[in-house]
Amino acid sequence: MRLADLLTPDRIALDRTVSSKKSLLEAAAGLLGAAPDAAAGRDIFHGLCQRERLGSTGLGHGVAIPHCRIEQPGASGALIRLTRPIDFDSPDAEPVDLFFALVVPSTCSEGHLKLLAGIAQLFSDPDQRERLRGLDGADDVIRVLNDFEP
Amino acid sequence: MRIIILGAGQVGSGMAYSLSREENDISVVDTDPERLRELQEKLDIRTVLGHAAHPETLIRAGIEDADLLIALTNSDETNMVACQVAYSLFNTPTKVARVRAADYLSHPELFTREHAPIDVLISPEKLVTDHIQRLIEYPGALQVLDFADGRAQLVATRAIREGKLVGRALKSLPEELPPGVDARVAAIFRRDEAIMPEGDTVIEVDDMVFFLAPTHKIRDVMGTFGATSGPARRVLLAGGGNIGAALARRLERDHHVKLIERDPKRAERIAEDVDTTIVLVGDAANEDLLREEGIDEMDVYCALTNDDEANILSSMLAKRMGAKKVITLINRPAYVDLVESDRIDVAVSPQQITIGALLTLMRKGHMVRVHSLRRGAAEAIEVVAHGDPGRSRIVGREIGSIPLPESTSIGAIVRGDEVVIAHHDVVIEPEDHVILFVADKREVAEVERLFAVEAVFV
Repeated sequence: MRLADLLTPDRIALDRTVSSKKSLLEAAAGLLGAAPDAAAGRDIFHGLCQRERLGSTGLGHGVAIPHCRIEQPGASGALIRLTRPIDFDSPDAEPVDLFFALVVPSTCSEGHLKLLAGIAQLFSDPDQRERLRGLDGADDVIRVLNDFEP
Repeated sequence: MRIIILGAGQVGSGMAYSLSREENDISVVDTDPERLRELQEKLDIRTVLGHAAHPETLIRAGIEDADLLIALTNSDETNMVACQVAYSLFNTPTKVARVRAADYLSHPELFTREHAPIDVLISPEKLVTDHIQRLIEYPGALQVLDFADGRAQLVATRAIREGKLVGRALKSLPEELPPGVDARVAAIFRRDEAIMPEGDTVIEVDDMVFFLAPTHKIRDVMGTFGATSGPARRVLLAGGGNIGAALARRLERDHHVKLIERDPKRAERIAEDVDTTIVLVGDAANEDLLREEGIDEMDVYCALTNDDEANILSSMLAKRMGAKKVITLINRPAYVDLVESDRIDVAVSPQQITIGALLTLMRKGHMVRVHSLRRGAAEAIEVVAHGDPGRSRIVGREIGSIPLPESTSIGAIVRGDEVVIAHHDVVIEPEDHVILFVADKREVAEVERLFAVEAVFV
């Protein structure tokens, strides 16, 4: 599975506004819960909150990868870009504006772990981060992901 | 963390006070403007006037972005409905409610996500009753805190000259313990200063020693510091409120219990409810009454009325008249600081006990239990270790190689049902429960960071 396969245009939200970490996770759960065969948004929200308690999924440089395991057949993702960055307890204490949220099945495989590592790699590249911050539409986001070879 | 506290009563205000000293964004809701104004003057918090369970009030208090709702109004029903509203309308991640009615509490199936969605139920009276019961079970202890569902306990005791280990280095502790018994001293307080225990630390008379051991071995360890290790037999309880009456019922099977209650009607009701407890009508500050009831032969005297001053006075009297151990319930935090000396052995503060239950929810990481100690200056923490060996700073490492902050020590780990006392070569495995003593609360954030998993941990 490639990163681009995790997303569909309806799970890409550019220029959202939220006012807290909690609202961001709610928004992410809302998008992820709308995917085909997805678990209920409420359960995803609960899972994302639980995972954040163990340690922030903020990577630094204004990006984060909220994720969790959940009872559902496949993995799916959502991308959220905020108009105003929020505090996300990142290691560099920088506020975050770019989020790639991911849910993986509770029987998480090696392939799923690679997906997460791939997202982290994409986000750790300054050029990719800048491209994603400058894009205008969901299709452009998918194109960037398609071009990206982990 | 963004926190909403419902109810500015004694417990609610106490929580607001303690939590506002940390980096939290706090709103307090109450229907009494006077109470709110008082709080507002003292603390850097937001106050909201209104009915605590109404969605409109909750929105004004910032429920949409809140991480934690703590419902502490006087009404169980308001607290329960507020949690329901927070869950159904606002997805609030963690909801805590004070529920006191035993009738509700006896139906745990009520408190599930489908019904009354409350993540943690708090009953300060029950917490205090449990706490005092443990103190009575170990007369030599000044603090007894449970970890790992009661498998391990952290106990504070005062070292006295008679103790075999007193005047000797800690590394000789194993020689004094019966075979098969292991324990670890987690912290020592000498004249109120924390000392980090090392093998060559010499225990001095009057040291306050905190040690961890498996629960059924506590008595063996306590004796080495000179503390009475036998169980208490005779107990006198002053005050027949909910805590006093509950303690009488719990203790009367294994102890000779007497209970003094001032109100004859209340005393009569308690007498109907207990079995072997002797219920007396009278004033606990009355010297003659205490003498008649054999105060000089009491192993433990507990002052449990809702009047702090009365509790302090009767406790000082009881101690002077020969009660071996005196436990005093004190609500006002300022008084707790004042009296815990050689006149009163243990001051029990409902607020400090309750705040521990809340800190468990507020600390980052997979916290199982957090106890607030020494009036909030120290903490004892049980946290689950997650992470992958080789990438974690905890999992897969020997305890001796974990870069703990200066005043923090690991006392034990609990692996499944087994309590493993912390020695420097014990290796932490994934899912181990690690019990830490943080002698200086300012180091808690660093402990949280040590245990935090990597961003890519699944």
